[in-house]
Amino acid sequence: MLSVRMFFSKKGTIRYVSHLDLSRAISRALVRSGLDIVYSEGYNPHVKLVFIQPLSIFQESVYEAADFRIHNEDISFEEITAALNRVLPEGLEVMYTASPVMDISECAYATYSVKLDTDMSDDEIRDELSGEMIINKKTKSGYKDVDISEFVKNVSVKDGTVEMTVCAACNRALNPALAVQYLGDRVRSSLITRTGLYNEKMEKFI
Amino acid sequence: MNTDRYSHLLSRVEKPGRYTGNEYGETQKNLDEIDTRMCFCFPDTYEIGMSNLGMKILMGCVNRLDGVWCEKSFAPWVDMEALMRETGTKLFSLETGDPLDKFDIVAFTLQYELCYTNMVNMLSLAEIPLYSEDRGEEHPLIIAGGPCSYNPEPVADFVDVFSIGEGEEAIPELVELYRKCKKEGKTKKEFLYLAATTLEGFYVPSLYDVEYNEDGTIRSFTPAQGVPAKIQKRIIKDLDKVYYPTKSEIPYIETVHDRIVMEIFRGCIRGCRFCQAGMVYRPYREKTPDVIDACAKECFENTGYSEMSLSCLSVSDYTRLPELIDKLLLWTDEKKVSLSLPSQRIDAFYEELMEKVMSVRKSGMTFAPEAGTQRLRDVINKNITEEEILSACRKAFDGGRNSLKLYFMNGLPTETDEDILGIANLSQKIVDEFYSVKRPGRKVEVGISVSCLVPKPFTPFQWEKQDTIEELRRKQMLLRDNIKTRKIRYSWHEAKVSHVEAIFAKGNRKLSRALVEANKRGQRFDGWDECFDFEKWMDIFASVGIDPAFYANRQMSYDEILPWDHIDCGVTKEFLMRESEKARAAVTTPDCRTQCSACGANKLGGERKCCR
Repeated sequence: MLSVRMFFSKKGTIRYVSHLDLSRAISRALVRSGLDIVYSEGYNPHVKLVFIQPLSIFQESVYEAADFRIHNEDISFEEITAALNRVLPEGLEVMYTASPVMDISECAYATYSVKLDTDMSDDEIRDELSGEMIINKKTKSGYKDVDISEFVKNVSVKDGTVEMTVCAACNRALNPALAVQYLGDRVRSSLITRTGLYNEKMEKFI
Repeated sequence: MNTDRYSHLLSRVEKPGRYTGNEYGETQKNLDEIDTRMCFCFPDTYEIGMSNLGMKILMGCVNRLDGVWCEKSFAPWVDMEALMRETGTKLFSLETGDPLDKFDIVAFTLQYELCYTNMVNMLSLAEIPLYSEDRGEEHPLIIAGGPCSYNPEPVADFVDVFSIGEGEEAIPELVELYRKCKKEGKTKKEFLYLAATTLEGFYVPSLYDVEYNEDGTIRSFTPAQGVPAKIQKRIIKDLDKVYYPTKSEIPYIETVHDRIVMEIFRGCIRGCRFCQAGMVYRPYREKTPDVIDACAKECFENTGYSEMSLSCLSVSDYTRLPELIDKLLLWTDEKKVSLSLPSQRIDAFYEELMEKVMSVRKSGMTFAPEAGTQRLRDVINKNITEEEILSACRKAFDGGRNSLKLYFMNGLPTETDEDILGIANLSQKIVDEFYSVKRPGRKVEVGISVSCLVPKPFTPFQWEKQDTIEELRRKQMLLRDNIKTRKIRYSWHEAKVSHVEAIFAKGNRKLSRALVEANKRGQRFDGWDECFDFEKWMDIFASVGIDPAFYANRQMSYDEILPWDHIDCGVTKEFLMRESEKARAAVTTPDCRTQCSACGANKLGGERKCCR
């Protein structure tokens, strides 16, 4: 069996497709690809597909990663990439596939580029996004005030676009939409793009 | 990316995936090469519409034509509708995102009566005048088809032309005629006359004049000069040769039937007397296993679906079922594709087959005895005995099932309280059947779901009155009080909904006023509990002078002109009368394979399996 990590982008209207729906769409694409995909065992077999870090609905990404396995070991990663790109829906594109190097649990940070439509100046945005950021967040046990600043590692602002590095570990992750929410009504709309995944040492997740 | 222009709305609604299109497999064409634009509208949510096989078939048929592009649109859910009205956004197609009023042809499929308000609302959201007579050359041609077009009258004032019957050949013919007329600079009126007089199976309501008697019944129904008095439905003569969609778009969001659907035959040999589908889809025609198998494989390779269901009215009636299943299982098991076989018939053969198929996945089991006593089952021509029902249940229990679901109907003609109690008795017998043998550690659950009869056009019950809401309620409560065990889970259909459905099912042209008024008052999604508003409906009917009981609760006589008499679905009125009389006498009619009962559908031709 061959373990495959696919790195792909998600752009355009497919950002309206939620993680769960995306996962189903990619599973079907894997079946269509004709690659000899490994299924789960059991009564209800399904394609085994694991996403490194789910992406929220309404967000684009230029660096997504997901793992699957295939039975056939005599196939090059270039061939796998090509087979996938032949059958993926518009808006999804596999940049490359490779053997996984890092363990999923090593993923720690994600970088985002957040383009804001707002009358706030870059300085105002920067001020708002430094220091404590208390937002009222919905949790399993009702709404709770949380300080999201402890999940934010780095913020820079230029021409209304925020570049931020936030936690993206499986047990500790921040949806950057919450930072936008914190900025309040002065943001008319935003487009969030995930630009990378990193480990604890800020090395590219591969 | 065309629907991206609506992003300011999409980020504010539940399930934006309903409105974005851009699915894998979506048909995209270059507008520069298109001379005729059509939008296929399904008057319900995206999830429901995208599950509809007919829509996929017809869109595919039209999109095979060069120079024509058929896009799609659905009824926006109430949250999206509110935003669209607030922002002045017109209803748009999902492919180009263009508003519907920019299209040449807007087509509606009418699958059930309660979607009529959605059709009207979609026109209103597109700012297209509702009444045909108010639309000019600048507005799209409005066409409609689907099962409800067998009685097109309640929506006849809104639709320029109806396609009656199967549309694979008819719709492309209509589109081609439209293109020809457009090229020659003909008016819409000229086009419609040509459609009615030179093509088969098209009904142009504006070419027929209705007059009423004082009591509200129809006095005369007169076609214009040269227009056929009766419109005979179209059928596909050879199902093996007809187009079948194998590359349809795959929705991102989960839809009701998110799987490969393989049609295996059309029509029904059974002749249950309440069932419209069993009559209007005649004659019975099959596809051959090789064709189905090849098509199924293609669908799988194009979609990657892991589920496939066979589509037809009653799977066990397919003459070559074992052969087909064996063929399919040759590859579906290996490809991890699970097969499901829908059926409303109870028989042992079916259960054995299920066991074979269920090597991949096990689904629920449902039976439809429809009535609780043998007498009433004979009335409705449900040719099944209590012993057969019990034996099928026994097999299911022996095979490891602990639960099953049964469908019944209330309000059937000649129904007495004894028949109602019969439902409780039969359910109790099924429970007893389970406990007649020791089944250690197992508990049975029998679900019974009881709907209310809605008499439908082109059934032997078309002349029948529906029980009043009070009577249906009384029967529902009587049954509830006679179920003595919690092992039976009883649910029933809201009688008020069935009442409104009955009004529209047997309605005439006068109902268009009610639909326009309903639209003014914001009524839509009547098939959805959260939107259906009975009091409002009664108010609407009253305000436009319509007596609901005239349509729903009045016994019609055989010599009355029925609102749908100008439609010819193959089955003759004489046959329906004979069946109606046999129902009164509780006499059954054998299925078409045992004996031809001369229903008349054989005149339509085609590769029939059992007509003589």
